[in-house]
Amino acid sequence: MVENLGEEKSIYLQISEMIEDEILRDILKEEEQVPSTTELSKFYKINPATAAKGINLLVDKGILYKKRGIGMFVQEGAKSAIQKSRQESFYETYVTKIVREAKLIGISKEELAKMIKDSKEA
Amino acid sequence: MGTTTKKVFFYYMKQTQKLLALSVGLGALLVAEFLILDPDFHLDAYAIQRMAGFILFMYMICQASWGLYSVSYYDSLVLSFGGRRTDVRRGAMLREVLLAVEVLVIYCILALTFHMEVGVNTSLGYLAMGLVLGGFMRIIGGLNLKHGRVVYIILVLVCALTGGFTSGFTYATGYSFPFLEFFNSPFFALACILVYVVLQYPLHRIYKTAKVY
Amino acid sequence: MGTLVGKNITKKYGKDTVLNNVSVQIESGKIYGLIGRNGAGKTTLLSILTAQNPANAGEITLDGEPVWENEKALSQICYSREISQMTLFGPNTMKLKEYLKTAALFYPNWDKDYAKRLMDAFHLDQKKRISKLSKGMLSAATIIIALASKSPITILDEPVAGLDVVARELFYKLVIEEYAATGRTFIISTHIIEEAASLFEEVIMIDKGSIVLEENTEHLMARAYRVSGEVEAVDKATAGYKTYHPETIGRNKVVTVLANESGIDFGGEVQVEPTTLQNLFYAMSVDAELEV
Repeated sequence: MVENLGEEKSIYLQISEMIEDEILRDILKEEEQVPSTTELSKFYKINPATAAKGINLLVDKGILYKKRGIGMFVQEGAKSAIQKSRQESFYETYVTKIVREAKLIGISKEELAKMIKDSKEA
Repeated sequence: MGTTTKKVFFYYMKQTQKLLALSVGLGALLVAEFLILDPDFHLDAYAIQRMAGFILFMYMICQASWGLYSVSYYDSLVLSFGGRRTDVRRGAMLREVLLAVEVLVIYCILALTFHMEVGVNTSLGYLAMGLVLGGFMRIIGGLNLKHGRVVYIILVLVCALTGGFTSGFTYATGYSFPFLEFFNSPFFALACILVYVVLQYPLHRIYKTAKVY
Repeated sequence: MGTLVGKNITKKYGKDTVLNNVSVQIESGKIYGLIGRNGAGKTTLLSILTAQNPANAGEITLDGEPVWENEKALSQICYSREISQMTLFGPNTMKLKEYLKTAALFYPNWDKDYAKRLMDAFHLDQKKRISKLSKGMLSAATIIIALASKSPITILDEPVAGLDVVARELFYKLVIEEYAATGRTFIISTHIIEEAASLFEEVIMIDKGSIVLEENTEHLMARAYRVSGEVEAVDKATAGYKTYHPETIGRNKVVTVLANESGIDFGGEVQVEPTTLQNLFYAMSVDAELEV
């Protein structure tokens, strides 16, 4: 988990995104239990209501579900659901940024495409 | 009676016990001192009378000083913990009255047990005067909160002047002020109690807008 | 638990109007942050809300009933203010132990074991006299009383003043734990804003005796922006919005904007970032300072 919360966006969104990241990275597996709102609030030193808001957002999105008396668990199919929704926003979140920056520093679109193709990332 | 009221009263009654222990304890200490020092000393009625007198004296000091401590510290403390002003005012009054009653009981026990010679008027007078001193010093404390240390200075001046004047005049002329005779009359205690009741009115006003500081 | 409401509170000390027609509403089960400069009126407001100080005008009610001289209401509130080390006679020679005993007597929900654990956590010796406590110990004692009171409404007035960073972090952790376990209402006033900002569900900002803001922290921060770029571009983009604390370096300008809504697009000519509660408060306060 990310140690420090930043200013970039609302805390509850950062919490929900962090949990989504862990699901994507298989750190949190399906049907596995997620830290409780109390644990999250203590760890990040945030208001428990804020932590709860982040969790509830994921419940509404169908990523997490609640087992009464036990806690919050990762929904089956959560990983692919997150991948799908992130794919949809990928363009806005990342691509436009890279294109703008490339333009600013004088890298052509062809050069950029080649960089991506040749990239050693898995 | 609500629970907080009970707690406030309990708090002030605890103070009464401390003051009782102080008055009686110091009185007993004095006797013990004599016992140790004087070979001819016997624990007779006369010795007990001296001790009882000293207890009354200490009682008055306790009433007066605790009046000041109350308004300057303890009352504010109780307010800060959620006590009501009415309860605090009554609690302080309860402390004063209860102390007077308890000292009276101790005094009676001593008098009866040791067949002490009792000056009824003066003893009751001291007890009642203690009440007045307690209430009066609370008023002084309240004025001090409002107007500052000048209140104490005025008080000391007034006492010094009155005391100095009356004693000097009495010495010089041999004239005994009728007011001083009044101290020994049976009505003195009653008058003090009356004064104490009257003092509750300014006290009521002082406590009405008391604040925590 | 109930709603603590203060309506039209005015407080004057002689000719100084310390609180001017102030109204607040404290809903139950939330953590409120009260921020303001020194002398803004935080302590006065808190002491009036808890009937420890009489107001010149205004009503304070808990669940609709007036708080003044009301046992039922007063027993639900704990206002733990800094214990004074000096009484009107001299140093306060009361032992911490006795102070705690008095707290235990008066707070109906006092948790003795919790108080003991907290004393150990803050390394406080209850045999010490109040006048001999260090600043840090004094603050810790105030915190312990507030937390162990288990009062439905708990108010802490500058609890972390005098605490070192380790003790401060302990404090925040304790508040979160206690709030998560019991959902008590907390009102915390502080100068160390950013550390505590993520604790506050609601924030109340007070300046010169008036309430500037009373809002959900997240909503507030969502409508606060830091806009930067070339001077003219920034001025153009932020025209019509309330701006604070403009700073320029060379041909660049940065300004804090507090708009009426979130998600505003200031255009591509300028860079827009969120800002922190502390920065927002600073920007607004520093401007108010210059106005004088």
